Amino acid sequence: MTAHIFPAASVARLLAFSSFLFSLLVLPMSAQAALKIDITQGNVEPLPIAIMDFVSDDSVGADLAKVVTADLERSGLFRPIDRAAFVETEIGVNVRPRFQDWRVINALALVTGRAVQQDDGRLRVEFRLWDVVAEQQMTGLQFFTTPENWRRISHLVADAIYERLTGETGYFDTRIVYVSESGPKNQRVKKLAIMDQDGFAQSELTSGRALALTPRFSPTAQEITYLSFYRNKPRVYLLNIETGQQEVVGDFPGMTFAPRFSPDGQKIIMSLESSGNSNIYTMDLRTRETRRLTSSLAIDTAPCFSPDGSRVVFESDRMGTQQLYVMEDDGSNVRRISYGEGRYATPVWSPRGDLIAFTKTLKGRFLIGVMKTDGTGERILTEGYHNEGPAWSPNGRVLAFFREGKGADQGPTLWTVDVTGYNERPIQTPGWASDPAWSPLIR
Amino acid sequence: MTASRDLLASLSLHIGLAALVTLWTPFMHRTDLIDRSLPVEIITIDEFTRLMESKPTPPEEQTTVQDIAVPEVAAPEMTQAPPDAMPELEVKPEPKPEPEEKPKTEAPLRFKVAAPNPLARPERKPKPLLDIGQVQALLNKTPDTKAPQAEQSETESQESGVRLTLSEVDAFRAQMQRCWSPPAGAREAENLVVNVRLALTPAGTISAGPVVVNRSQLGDPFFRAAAESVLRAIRRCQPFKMPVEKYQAWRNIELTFDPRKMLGG
Repeated sequence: MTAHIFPAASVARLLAFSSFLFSLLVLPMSAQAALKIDITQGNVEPLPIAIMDFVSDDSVGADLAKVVTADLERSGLFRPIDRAAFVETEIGVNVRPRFQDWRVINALALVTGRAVQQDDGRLRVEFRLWDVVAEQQMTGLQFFTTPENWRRISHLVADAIYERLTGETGYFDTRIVYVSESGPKNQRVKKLAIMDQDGFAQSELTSGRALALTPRFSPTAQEITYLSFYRNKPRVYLLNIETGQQEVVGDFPGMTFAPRFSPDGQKIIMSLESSGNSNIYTMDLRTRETRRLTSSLAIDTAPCFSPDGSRVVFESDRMGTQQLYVMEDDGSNVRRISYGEGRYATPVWSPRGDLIAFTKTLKGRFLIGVMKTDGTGERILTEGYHNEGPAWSPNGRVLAFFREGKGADQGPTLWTVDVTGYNERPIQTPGWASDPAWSPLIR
Repeated sequence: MTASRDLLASLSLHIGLAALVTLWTPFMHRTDLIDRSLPVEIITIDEFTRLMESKPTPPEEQTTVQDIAVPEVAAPEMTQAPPDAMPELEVKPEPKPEPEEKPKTEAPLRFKVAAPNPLARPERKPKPLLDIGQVQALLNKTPDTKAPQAEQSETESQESGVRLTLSEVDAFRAQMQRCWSPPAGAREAENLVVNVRLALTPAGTISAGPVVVNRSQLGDPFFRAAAESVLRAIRRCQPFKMPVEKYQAWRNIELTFDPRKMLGG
């Protein structure tokens, strides 16, 4: 969606070329022996960044800066500096900052910006990200939008800053769909709800008359597939977020559940229960053709495609206990990948393709972990009484999950944790919330 | 009579000897204790120099403040640069409308109370004081050992004839490591090894560079972020505290920043 005047690739080429030229100047020094030193340790610290209120006639400039600051801070990779420490307190977007003032407060990066209400009623938001040490602009962007859209613009600005400083794709301009829960534990009302990834802009998608479970986004973020107990018949449905239209996925004789989209959005993969066991099926959304991928007498469920669509990870108790298995997209070459202690469930393939997240049950506790796609390198990211249902952020950097409370009057809440296992944070929701699913980038 | 006196003397001597042996034995045990290894704290050269390094911290802070306070001359930068002198802003097209109508009333603003330092990781184990690899390398002294410190001090000495001691190299390394924050948790850390070259003035400030040597990877945003973290670290770390009399040995420096150990790549 970006119309870059200087595309990233050409900037990189320019950078490479200029550094090459520079190295020619410095090259003579290589004739003499250079002292060679390896640096293998540093500080894993959040990057100190100063984010100034965007210059504007009304409060929107300060609001924008607040959302950008909150996004970056929540990622755990940035440490926004307290505004009270700022020496320079107002910088126009077209003014070079006094970098020494920012070095004094140990800022490594600085964000300045402006929000202008245009004559045509639209809001123009501009910002610049500065490297305080190199005294250079790192990126500068302009956005136009309707004024009520300012919150999305803030997320887009935060994404641009995050991307430029980490090399990673951002994930702030995304939404999370989840199951909103209310009422006593034995009589819970469960409906689908949607919100921005930071917990704002909450809205409900279903009425709550029928129990709704396991919502999953389509790759376009326009549709959701989920399990509804409409008329007490548990079946997989498709819900269009924009129009509110719903339809049953496939006409199967038994109960269908655990649905997910294929990465191209053309198919839905799910489980079909019949006579006490369940197998995995796909359904082509255009041709309505169904295909059976597993045929075991066990419970095969929770299927999830790899991001390239060539493989499927799922859970099965075919060898006695719940374990994770990987197969080709046609159901061939099934191999077990989990061999650790305990039972493994709800596998989810990372959008990066490198890891599989899962829920693990061990000695009565529910843990969230990740392993490589061949089952090696298992790491537990969070443990406790009951953690379940990991969902990846679109950049494969953060996992959302839910944590069940222990007492009778307790309910589930949503959390995020970095793939490194650090920076665990709650996501605020109006009521109890479970089973989160992260949208792809909306761009 | 003499015989009985001799007998008495011999008897008393024997008893005395027996008593001495019986009483002495526990002391023998105690001397045994002395032979046991004493608890000796082993500090690698790296650690030692870091300890030494940590002492002059306050003056270092002062110099930083002075350095920055002095260039009041840089005031011209404050003047409004004409807009066209500024780098171009990229124009982003209007974002697509939300797939779903937002609720009419704005959700109440709730900013989450965050932990003061999200990356303070309680479960992270402290780095062990003793690095077996390094100690072995120091002990073996074979030319192909992997101990980076031992290897480097050898390398730089050859041409100029001036040698930096291990401690001096380590002091530089310690200073550099304090300044460097690699992008955390980046994937494929093995591809993020950044080689830079720079030249220093006798005062320890940068006279040329720093230049990324393996620049062919700069097209990769992850590598670019890693390389920029290195350049920032070098620039903000100067002046480097090095022995002036050995300037020839550290005038030109090649640094390899390797985050693999840290990021577990």
